[in-house]
Amino acid sequence: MIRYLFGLAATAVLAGGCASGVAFKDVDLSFAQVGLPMTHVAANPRAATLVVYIDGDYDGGKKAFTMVLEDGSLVGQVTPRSYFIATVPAGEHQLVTAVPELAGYSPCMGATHRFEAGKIYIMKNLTPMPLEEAERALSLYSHLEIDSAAGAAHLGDESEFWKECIPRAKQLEVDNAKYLADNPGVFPTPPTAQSVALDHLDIPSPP
Amino acid sequence: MPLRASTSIGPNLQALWLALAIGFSLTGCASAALAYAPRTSERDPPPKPQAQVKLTELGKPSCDYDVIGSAFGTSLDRLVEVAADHGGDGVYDTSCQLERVGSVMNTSIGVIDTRHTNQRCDGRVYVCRSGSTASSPKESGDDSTGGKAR
Repeated sequence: MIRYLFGLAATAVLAGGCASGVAFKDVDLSFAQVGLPMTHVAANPRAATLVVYIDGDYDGGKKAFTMVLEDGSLVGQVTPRSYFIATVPAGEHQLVTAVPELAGYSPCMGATHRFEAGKIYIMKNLTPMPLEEAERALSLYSHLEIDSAAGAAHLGDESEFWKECIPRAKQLEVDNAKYLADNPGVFPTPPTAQSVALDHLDIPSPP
Repeated sequence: MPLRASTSIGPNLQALWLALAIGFSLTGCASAALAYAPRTSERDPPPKPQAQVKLTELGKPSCDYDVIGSAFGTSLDRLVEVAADHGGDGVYDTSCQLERVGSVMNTSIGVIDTRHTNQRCDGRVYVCRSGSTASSPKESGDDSTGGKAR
């Protein structure tokens, strides 16, 4: 049933572009707000630093995506054309992103990457991005500051959603890997986290 | 990084979710709500008529300015609209690029083809500091007097 609902939502996205309906309603930020622009991101020697942004043109509405790790711990929240900065423990992690407010209409997307302490990773949603491809976006987009306490409370309120979403994201990642293996060339191979890791990050100020 | 238009994918929706997961654009849909990214949490100035908003395609604005946000749209005119809606005196540092988005999918309800070409533009919305005014709208050229990000 859930897969069917995803199918409907996906079909509507593709067919209608800017459709309306439950799956396309706006979802506001619940534990993040626009903060001061960042011009420099320093690496944390004891953890990996993620700079996560999303573009605004693929979901048909303004939605706040919540990102967690595979253990359900909070990473952050982001809306189209914004970014946040978070740290995660070094090691291999599955990042899971979803819009829990949409319940069964929400995608549950996951991607597993290996992160090193002392490195900075720019992520376009779940995909590691080279600095040169992300630099202008980060310069133009809003910087979101995450309220961790409010975020933890939000996760608690949506715990049933995440219990179902995280394994689903894991399965989807497995399915995606199989799809890519079976359909070479359909999508460009995304870069690995290791290949785009940075020691420091300067976000250009407006000229 | 757009999904390439030549993509032809199979009988299920796997590719869509894969695309979402890896961050590709699919529809090119950009609602009005998405057309502006504030640079700070400060309240926008009141909206103003588009005719009073100056478009500077090259170089910097001709006043001393503060950047208050970024505008996004499918044309430079759209950037001016967005800047006007958010009380900007102008928009500068603009960039436009063409991209091909969409895909062909075979679904249980038939073939869905959403391939098309979009123009995506962005630019920075600024306000002139008090005592400093932008001159005539829609001028091009390097007219640098220096500005500052908030």
